[in-house]
Amino acid sequence: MTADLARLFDEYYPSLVRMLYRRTGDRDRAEDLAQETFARAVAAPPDNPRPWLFAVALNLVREDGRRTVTRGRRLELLRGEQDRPTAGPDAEFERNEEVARVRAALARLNERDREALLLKAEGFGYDEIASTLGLAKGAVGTTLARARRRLVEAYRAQDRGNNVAS
Amino acid sequence: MSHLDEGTLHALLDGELDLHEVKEIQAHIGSCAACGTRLREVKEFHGEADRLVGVLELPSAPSRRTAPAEPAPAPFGDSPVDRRRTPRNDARISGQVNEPPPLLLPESSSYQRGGFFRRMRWAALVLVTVGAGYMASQMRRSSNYAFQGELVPVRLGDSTPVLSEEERSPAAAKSGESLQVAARTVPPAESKAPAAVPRRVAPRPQPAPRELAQESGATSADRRDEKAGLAAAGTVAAAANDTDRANEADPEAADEAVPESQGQNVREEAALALRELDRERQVERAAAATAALDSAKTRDAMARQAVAAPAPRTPEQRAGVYLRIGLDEAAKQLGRPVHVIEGMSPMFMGLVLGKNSPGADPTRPVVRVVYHDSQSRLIFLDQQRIRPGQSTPPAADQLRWSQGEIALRLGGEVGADILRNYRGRVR
Repeated sequence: MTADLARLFDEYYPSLVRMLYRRTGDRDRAEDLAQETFARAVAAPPDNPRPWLFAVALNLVREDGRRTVTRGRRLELLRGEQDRPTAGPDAEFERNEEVARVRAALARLNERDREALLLKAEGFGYDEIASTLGLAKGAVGTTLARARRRLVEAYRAQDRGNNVAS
Repeated sequence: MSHLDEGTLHALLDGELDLHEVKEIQAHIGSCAACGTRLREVKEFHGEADRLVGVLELPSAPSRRTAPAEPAPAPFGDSPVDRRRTPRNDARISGQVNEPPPLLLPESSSYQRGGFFRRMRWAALVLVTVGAGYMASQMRRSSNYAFQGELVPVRLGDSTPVLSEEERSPAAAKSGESLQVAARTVPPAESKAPAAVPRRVAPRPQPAPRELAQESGATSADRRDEKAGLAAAGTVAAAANDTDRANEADPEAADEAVPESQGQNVREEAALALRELDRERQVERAAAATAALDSAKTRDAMARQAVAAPAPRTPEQRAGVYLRIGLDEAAKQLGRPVHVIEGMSPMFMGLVLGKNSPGADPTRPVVRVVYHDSQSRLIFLDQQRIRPGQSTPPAADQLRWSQGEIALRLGGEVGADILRNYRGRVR
């Protein structure tokens, strides 16, 4: 049991934190949620660990988001972290701008599209995405197609907006 | 076949379709300009969306809670479990929304879990030694009543390699009477003598309370490392315990029977424990520093691996075919029907850059008919029309030859010996 959990942790923790960071924009929160996910895995060891872990993590994100809204806090989805302090001020500024634009575009997607996209970015196959999100496998391609298109269009729309504004 | 929907094209680009589905789609795209255009558009969205998601990389700097911001070593017994509790609760209580909670499960997971158990092991060791020290102090108290004025039960510090005066001092503060008794019964001049056999001495006057208080205050001020102090206290107390027990059993025999080596062993164990603790701390700091390294290095390494490692996944990529074509197109390219290997079914045929087919005119594409053998290794039959003035393949080369206006070449993922066997079957 312990060995299994250790193996799961080694195998999936970095990927889980990365996905949660992309989802929440807050590394600490992502780590908290990942840890909570593994705590639940200890309580109820999953048969099919990867979809299970990511499904639980995404549920926690949703629950956490609801609680946050209830408390009147503002989600920091658009917050760009100070990622690369060594890159120089200009590069850092540009990067933060880019991250903020991508986050804004991602925020315009609906929940399912966004999650499908993030799971795909973690190397999930269509089977696993379907299992994690409770979709039919045949619908995953369509979901991803819509998600990708909307993400790119939302991102480009910001660029157009910026150009018009300037 | 009806037009392809976007979901199918994404599934195609994600490699989620079976081979026969891929073939059908490619055949359709070859004949349907609208679907070809749509595929190009989907490719663009596909690549751009992946790039955008990739922009959201985890920050290279460690999270605030995992940052190696420990100016001083953590107090002993401060396990990861302890660390994760307190600041987090404080943050919640004080209402700070994004106050970073402390680390629950670290990034270098394998080390931290192992480290936890190692720390628990050492914590258990120290607990045992402290407990033994406490018991020794209790027994010492009772033995003092029994043998007061008769024995100096223990000699300390004369040949201890690690436990210096400074390190023994906090032990006095911690373990109370046992070490104080030892300190006042052994004068400093004698402590430097190599002999450590307990001996019968005349009762010594008790030091004034003020002296003891000063000594205790000094040891508190000199405390450098609580862990070292605890370990030393436990070890010293254990030594005192052993000696006292021997004295109680037979005070006469104690002069010869109490072995110095026993106390020495205990000291060596304590020294070993201290060295292990130091090593633990060094490893801990190294792990924290490693977490702070720029993840760009990791990404670069991964990118290099990605460039070096992956073999082409699809048969087309393995064959180097940039465009699949049908029989008609192949015949159009060659100006005559395409050559085939008799008795084998081609997987597909397509166009290859001339430079990728040895001996071919590099300025023109080559028609490549792709087969596979029983072990799924690919076999290529390359064909290119010979233009006037172009040199024909040398007769000595058994894998390159010409038939009429067509230059042929056998190649693939199998050896030349096997390829030569196929030459006689080319029609």
